[in-house]
Amino acid sequence: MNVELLSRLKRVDGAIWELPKTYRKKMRVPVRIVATEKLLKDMDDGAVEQGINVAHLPGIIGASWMMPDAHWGYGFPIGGVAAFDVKDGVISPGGIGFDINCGMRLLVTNLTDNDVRPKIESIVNELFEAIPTGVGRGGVVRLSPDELKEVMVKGAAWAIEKGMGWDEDIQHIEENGAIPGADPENVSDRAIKRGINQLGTLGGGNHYLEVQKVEKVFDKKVGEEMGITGEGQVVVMIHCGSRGFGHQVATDYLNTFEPAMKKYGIEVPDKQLACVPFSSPEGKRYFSAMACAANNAFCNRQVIAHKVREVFAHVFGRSARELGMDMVYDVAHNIAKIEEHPVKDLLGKSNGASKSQITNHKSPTRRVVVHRKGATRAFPGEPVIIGGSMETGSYLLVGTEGAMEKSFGSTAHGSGRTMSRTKARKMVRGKELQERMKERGIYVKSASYSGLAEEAGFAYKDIVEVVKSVSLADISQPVASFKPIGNIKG
Amino acid sequence: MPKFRYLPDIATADLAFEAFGKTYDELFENAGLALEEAMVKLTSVKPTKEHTINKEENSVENLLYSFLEELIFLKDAETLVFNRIKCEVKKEVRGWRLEVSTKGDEIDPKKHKLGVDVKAVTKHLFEIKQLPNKTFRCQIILDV
Repeated sequence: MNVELLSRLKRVDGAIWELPKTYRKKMRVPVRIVATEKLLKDMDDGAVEQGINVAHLPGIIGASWMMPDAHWGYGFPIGGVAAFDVKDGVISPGGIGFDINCGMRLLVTNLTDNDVRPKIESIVNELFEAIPTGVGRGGVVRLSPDELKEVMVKGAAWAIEKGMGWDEDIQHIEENGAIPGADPENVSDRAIKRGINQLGTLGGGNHYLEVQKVEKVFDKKVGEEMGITGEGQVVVMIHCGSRGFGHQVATDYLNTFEPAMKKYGIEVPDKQLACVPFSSPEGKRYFSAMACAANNAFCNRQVIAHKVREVFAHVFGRSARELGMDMVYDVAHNIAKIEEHPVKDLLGKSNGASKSQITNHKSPTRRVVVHRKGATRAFPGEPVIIGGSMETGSYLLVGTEGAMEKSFGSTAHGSGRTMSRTKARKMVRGKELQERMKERGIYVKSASYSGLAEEAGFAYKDIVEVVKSVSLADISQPVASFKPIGNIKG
Repeated sequence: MPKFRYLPDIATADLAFEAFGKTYDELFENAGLALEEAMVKLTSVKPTKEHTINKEENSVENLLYSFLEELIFLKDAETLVFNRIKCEVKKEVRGWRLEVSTKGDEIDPKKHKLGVDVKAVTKHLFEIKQLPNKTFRCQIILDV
């Protein structure tokens, strides 16, 4: 971050920094950044500039938040959280991302590192066969357009009804695996055509499916409640989203929002922040289409989890039930949600900038549309899954009251990129990286060697610093850390 | 002059490229190839399947955007990738028209060297410019 910008930031809490709304003329709220000093200094100016732009949007409440893993994204920074009043505020596809309901799912097993290591190559090879990965790959579930429409409404439950999952899985998914208000009428034929063959596929980019072992338990009691039994336990983490279907929904609506903005007289500092009033017909249609894509993603991860259970059952010759393959949780990290938040506490003790806005408000809670783009819901007691780079490991956290008071019940989502894909590819060859990882006990199989190189650990921020930041800010607390043993990626 | 080049310093999580052409036809062809090359190594594709694309838009920028968006759509909807792209860009009274004939293959990880799965063409820093030497240059950022 440049020195001038850095000098304007004031520490308001252990790891929360504020750029006042007086920093730029038309900012409606301050920008608040969650970071240790190290991550703050390293944060890229482009991302902070985007956080500032978000603070300009109509109806934004409290602050434009940036999580410690924040980096440049389309419109909003990735790692951005912003809440808008449902009556006066806006909804913006750029605040959600192209991959609607990209998210994380975590399954546990009763197996240990010792049980799994000798079989890791078979497990990874079978997972790679069972779950299509990479560019444009079709899935194993064939759907008719009507069935896809059912998926849009029912979400994960659709797969469970078809025998791809356990009844209790649904209780361990954000929104029980289906966001209400999804109407397939608001989805284009183009999105349907693009997504119809992709249910049960991982996709590419930073998406992965990882077999991991518990490295360290930070909170034994909470860990046990979530199914973490101890160090060495093997778990499976899935990172993917709504695939071509969701990408097309985002594309379709971005194209219609730009002209619609003129109609509503909305001015934004950057045209990627295309947005419309949440209560407008366009806003309602987008929210409904977004819910369709989000539910498709919940179902996608459900189908993939089912395949994971099948593969483990096959390799170990015991049923997935016998292997204790329960769900810990499934969380979205690219999404907009309607939630109630206690507005009076939003800005914490030391904020004066927006006090009038708060005291004027009679109601103790306010209905808001929370945009989480590269950010995870962190409601008190709920699991938060933070995926690291495939070399460095991942975390399970738990949401806190602090998140409700400060960051609209939100926290970080991953490590956050610091190096471009093109640069990373020049630093290491995919095949070399695969061999290097194998020597370190991580067996990786990828649909693309160049794609693998782009995901090298050095292209990401230090996940330990990210977790330290959210813990210091008390917007979530670590429960356990995981190290990869095997990985498949697109 | 290269046909296209990936730009390492523009987008951290996404993929930026520039493409060149002496004419709009050539510019569109090279931009299309840059997008395809991001998804699959072009030399690993046998051009066995033909496809045509027709588009009409009110500006040459929108025409390029909608052409690239169509290639992404075909990658998912038809699992098609292309390594031969022939474009004809025409300025008409009411706007711009594009006729494309492409050759490529259905994605097969056993045959093809695959790259990244492109999600969308973005409008961030999207531009078409004519350079002092009359060459056209476009800059595109893909969301991956």
